[in-house]
Amino acid sequence: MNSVEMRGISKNFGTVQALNGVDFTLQKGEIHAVLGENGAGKTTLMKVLFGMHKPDGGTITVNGNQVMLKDSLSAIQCGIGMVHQHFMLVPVLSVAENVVAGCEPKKGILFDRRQAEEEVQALAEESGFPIDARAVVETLSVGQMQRVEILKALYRGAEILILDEPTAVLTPIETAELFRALRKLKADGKSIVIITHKLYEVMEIADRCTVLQDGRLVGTKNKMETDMQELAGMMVGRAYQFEGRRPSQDIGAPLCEIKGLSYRRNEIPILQDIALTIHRGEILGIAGIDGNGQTELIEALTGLLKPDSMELLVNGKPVAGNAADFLRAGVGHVPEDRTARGLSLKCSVEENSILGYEGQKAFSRHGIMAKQSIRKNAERLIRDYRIKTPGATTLCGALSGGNQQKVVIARVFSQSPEVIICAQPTRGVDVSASDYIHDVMFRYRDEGRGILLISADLDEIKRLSDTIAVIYKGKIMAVDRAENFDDNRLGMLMTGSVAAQEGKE
Amino acid sequence: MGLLGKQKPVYVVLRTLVALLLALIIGGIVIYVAEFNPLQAYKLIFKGAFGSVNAILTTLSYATPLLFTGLAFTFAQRGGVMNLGTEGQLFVGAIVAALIGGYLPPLPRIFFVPLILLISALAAGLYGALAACLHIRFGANLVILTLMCNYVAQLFCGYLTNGPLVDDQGIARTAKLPPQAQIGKLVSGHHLSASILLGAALVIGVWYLLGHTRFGYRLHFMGTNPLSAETAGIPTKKLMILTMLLSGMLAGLCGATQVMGVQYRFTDGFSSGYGFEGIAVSALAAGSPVMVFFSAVLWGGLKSGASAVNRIAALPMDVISIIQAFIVIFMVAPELMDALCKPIAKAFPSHKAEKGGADE
Repeated sequence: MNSVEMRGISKNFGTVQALNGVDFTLQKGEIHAVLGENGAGKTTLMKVLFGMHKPDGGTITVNGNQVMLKDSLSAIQCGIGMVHQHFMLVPVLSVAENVVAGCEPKKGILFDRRQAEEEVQALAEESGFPIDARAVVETLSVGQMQRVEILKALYRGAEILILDEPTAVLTPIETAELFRALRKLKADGKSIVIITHKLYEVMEIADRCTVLQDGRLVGTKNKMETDMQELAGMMVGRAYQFEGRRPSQDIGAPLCEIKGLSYRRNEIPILQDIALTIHRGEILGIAGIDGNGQTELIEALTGLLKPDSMELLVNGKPVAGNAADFLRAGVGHVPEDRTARGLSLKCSVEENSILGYEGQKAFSRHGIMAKQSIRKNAERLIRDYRIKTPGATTLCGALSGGNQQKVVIARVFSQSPEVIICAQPTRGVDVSASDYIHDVMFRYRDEGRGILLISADLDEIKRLSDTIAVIYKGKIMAVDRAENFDDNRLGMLMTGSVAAQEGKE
Repeated sequence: MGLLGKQKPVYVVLRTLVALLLALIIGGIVIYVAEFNPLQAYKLIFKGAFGSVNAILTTLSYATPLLFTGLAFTFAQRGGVMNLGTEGQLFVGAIVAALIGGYLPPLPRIFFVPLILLISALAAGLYGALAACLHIRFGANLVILTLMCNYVAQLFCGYLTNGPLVDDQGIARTAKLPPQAQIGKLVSGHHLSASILLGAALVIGVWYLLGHTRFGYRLHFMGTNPLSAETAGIPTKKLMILTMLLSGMLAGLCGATQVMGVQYRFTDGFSSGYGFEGIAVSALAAGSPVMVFFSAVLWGGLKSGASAVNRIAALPMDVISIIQAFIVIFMVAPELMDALCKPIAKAFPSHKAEKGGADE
């Protein structure tokens, strides 16, 4: 019997059709992947199933009974649980308190903490998510917090579990643990949905896979009867050729040298004596779990943050000063969060396409903007970088995330800086745009320039980098040729578990 | 998301007209309740504001001070700076103009008038910039700072005119400006001051500065996303001080021109709240310096029309304040207006083609 049957689900947001007649079935005891690019409608479909969005059309059947899910409470009553991408936990409370919140065991009218702890501890052990029920949530790692979220759903009696991009925040080791636990849940008869855009995860964990594109159902496949090539083709709507690594053919002389970069905030060391060298024709990737000093590293290297000590040489010349000085010295910057630092969404594409370079002769003279050449420049970038926009005067806020990112990429790369600090270049960007951005980066490197790549996406680091440096708690744990790392070694270094053996190289 | 920016200018004008109409309807109800005939009252107001050459000149004289303060607020707002201190800044401009003009030996008019304007504007600008410096240096909230600076300036001027500078008849006012320090009338036979020409020129100047210069470009980024400006190496702190300096100068010119072109001296309470009215004028103009001109004229028209009606009928001036308040309320609630304008907006179908955040 099918646990869930969704038939002809449609959902509109204003004039945008997010879902268009989508069918979805979940069998009892299967792991089902929902696959699609950003904006394909996968999260929307699952939020409909969890009662968070009311569908404009279609029917939902759970365990053979047709249901009207008016909110997530009614979905929980139907035995559906959802773990969101962004965790909804109270950091100062314990694991047990977070798990039982809303349906606490009571002694009279008082909260029975001991029973809550016992129940949660027992649940954690039998469902394969070992965790200390008394631990305070803010002391947990991201992977452990995710377990708490899953336990929350299970505690409420979820038979159907929806996980929204569960591996996006995990290290390879944590991912493996999660998958092991999910297989156990499946063996216990639970049905699991995983929303993802990572193909190899589908092949590893899923039994079946439903692919969405632009809010439409492309198809549902048994894993045994398909392969990554086919799924990728279904996702992007054309035959898809996997891009492999493209190692640099010619790594040249040192281009950018960083020495003795240290930074403390409130007496806590954030960056500790970092030394890195980016060579001509090299992409140097920084691997690490978010929050290990990457943001401060980016800000120090772009003049936004004044570290306690740093020596930065570009082509042998020292660089110092503020952000404008760094830009002038040939250090380009693709900020990690395009909407926070990269762009102003309320400014037009053409205005955004010269931000930081507005003082150049081509764009302004004696303080007067050269409107015509700014327009021409924007039109050239739109053409060259295939930015999908109605025009140069369209506000950036009206573009999709991928095209906003292309505006930033086009702006920085078209100015030909010597070295580019490139942070999260494809975060929240769909597959075809991210391939294109990677292409731009490879070409730039092959022209003999250097890129420092900082990304939370380990696959991106592995695919693009010629050299990988692993950062952990603000320290560089190892620097080595990319091919000398495997997942295991990367994972150990990223979590600091081999600091002693490997040390610094 | 920017509601105004992504819409066609036609639509923005339309929305403004609808806001106006709605405010007039509500005002009409109030007038009716006060036992007057609304249509008759509006006819009289319109005639009083635009019905004759004389009426138009009076309207323009009401509009003149609002031109400066409206520009001052619009200018600062482009950089994301809330300058609620225009009232205080215009007091500084006024008192400095009155002091230089009234107590220093006059120079020939052709030098003296521009010199007084420049110095009083600078003084007001520095007063504005002081608030920005305090904000940047000590992290004090700029809105509260500028608001409080109003009291300091107003009360200090009150002290000067009631204390050391009180005239021999015991009236709180400074000495009369000699002719060399006066700005002339625009046309003979009406009190409209020629300083409206300066205001009109500044409208064009600010329009050019915001739309066509590197300074305006940087200001726009600072106003819409200060972090992106900082990331691009734009010195946002300096820019903010400069913005407050220039905005304060514009407000200061309001005070100086009132002293030099209308009152010929500083009298305590010469401003009917021009600074705050300027905020309303700026809101009605929706951030466009050119629209500030029309919006100030409309505002002036309502005031002069109302005072005309007040002379012949017993209709209280307060009704006009109610109408003005409703215009501003409708203007600053663009989403409310969008909903109200929906049926009309369908005539302009292309402006809502943007994608919403549907997924993720």
